[in-house]
Amino acid sequence: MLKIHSLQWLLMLFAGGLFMASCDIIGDVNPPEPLYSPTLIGIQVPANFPSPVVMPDNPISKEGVLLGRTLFYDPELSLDGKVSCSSCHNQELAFSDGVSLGNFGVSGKELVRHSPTLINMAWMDQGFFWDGGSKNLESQAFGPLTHADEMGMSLDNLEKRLTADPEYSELFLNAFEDGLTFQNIAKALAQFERTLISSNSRYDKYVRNERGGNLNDLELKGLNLVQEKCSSCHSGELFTDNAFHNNGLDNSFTDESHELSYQGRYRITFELEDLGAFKTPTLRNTMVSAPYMHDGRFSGIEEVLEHYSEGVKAAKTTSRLLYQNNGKAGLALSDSDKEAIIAFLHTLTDEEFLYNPDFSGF
Amino acid sequence: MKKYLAIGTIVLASISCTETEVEYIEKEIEMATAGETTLVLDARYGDIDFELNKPMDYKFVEGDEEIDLKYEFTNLRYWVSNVILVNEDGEEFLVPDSHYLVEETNEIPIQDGSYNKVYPAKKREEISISDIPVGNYTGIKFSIGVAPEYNDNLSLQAGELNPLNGMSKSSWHWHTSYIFTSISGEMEVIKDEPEAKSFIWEVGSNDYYSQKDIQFDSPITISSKTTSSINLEFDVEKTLEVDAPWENNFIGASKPDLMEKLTNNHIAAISLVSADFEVK
Repeated sequence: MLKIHSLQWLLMLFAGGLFMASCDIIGDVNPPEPLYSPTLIGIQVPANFPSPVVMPDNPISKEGVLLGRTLFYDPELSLDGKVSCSSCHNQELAFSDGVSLGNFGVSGKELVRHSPTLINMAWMDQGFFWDGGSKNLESQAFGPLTHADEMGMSLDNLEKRLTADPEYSELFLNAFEDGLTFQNIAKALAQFERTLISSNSRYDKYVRNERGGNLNDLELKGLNLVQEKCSSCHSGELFTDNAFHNNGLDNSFTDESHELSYQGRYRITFELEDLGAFKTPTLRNTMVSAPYMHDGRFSGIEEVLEHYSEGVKAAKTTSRLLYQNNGKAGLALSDSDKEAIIAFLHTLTDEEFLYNPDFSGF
Repeated sequence: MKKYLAIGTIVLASISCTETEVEYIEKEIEMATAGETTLVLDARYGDIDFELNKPMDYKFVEGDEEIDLKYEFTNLRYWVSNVILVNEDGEEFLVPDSHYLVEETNEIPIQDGSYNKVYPAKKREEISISDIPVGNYTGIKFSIGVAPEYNDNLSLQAGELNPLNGMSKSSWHWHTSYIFTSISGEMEVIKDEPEAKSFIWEVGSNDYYSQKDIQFDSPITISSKTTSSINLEFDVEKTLEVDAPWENNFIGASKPDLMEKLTNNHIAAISLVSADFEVK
């Protein structure tokens, strides 16, 4: 063997010592009980609903939902400690905020788009935000959390701030194997949001033949009208196709400011046909979630129906679904049609959703 | 030193553990097992070394006019992902979780500086890849950017991927994409009264996730008994070839055509210098 320096011998002895020590330890120590043993609950799919989107990387657990709900209502998630998700997503308003363009963020500046409702998001398969730019709830949360005019938080600050709170450490360890990380903040919020299911309106009880599911003649007429005239976009039991359409609000989409925010889906796809196309919101709970449209320009449902009846602008990319057979833009609704549609829309209000204690703050 | 430690460990292990264990360890040492290699992406600027904070000449033609610019870079950063080594039988070894951030950067204010925090100045051109199955390898493939599976979901992690390192920011969160490549600094147009302005060129989104395929001149053997390196050159000057750079000093998600051009430039600007190995 080569000449070996005494320090090297020392290192060899040390390495050997460690080896011996490790041989001795085997079998002697029981690992501590892990905190992480989540109860998987999945999504309770209502009988009249289609299959939801499954996210295999983020299975829904009781612990994850509890954590997500805690985070959703916690203003500590924002830069100034005053803004929570619920500042712009109020349960009683179907998780919208009741104003056209909110200024509830940390900067106090008005946002450029209307705060959307949070309803049946587990079925949203074509992205989030009015333009679908965000591909899943896990990634969506990073937008408002970090935006300077919303919660304004830096992701590492967020992680550090929550780490300082021992209650959070435990909640995270219960829900996720790797505990508190900002990725798990997003995952927990996503889990909670997927539980926000609205499926117990009077209409639902009607289609499921359940007690209390009676619709009167006017409401039934409204249902038929919605199916006939609105269901190309507000389709199926979700009352939305979750897709993007230009619904004829404007003639021109040349404003490129705010990172193309006014151009709708176009800013994501750069397909000309998507110019001015925004995501179809659900009609569920629509009677409690005014104002309407991606910019909240209509304060009441009457204005919305007036728009679809007479106000649809025949821009190049206005959806062909909004044209009549005679080539005229708009759905030409009579006053009695509008009355019936409004009566029906009331049957889509789901009090159990709006006041469900499982969805509320603490 | 490693050798001494290994021998020492065996000697002492024979005292503390059974003979079978010792035989096993000895056999392990004799046999060639999975090896490692180093992938080097040396940033160049034409014939010279790429450097930050130093004016670099650039010429381009607009109409009939030749315009002289000077670029002074403050950062150059890009993701290298899905690294695949191809052996002489054409079999591919995909390096698991391979997402690496290659960069040369000054301090970067995190999230546009609103938090008084910075990502520190850094230079990194070498990627160490380990646990490569023993074999004779004839080429390497990798992509520039973040693999769609991870780019579509910012809550997933793989390798060095992490939204905290400045390659993710609010304007890209609205699109759900990491920044795939980023180059920024100041540009100055040379004329009687020079004018300067900053430029930020960023590329992201799945459409611009592109693969580079490199064939070695001769195969390299990778195993526990060899050392090897794959040396590539990345000519930054070639990536700058976009139309009207002065007018397009900001390139990002809202300029897909220019993002496509930058992507193609980036891929074309990478070339093989050498791929070598030697027996330890």
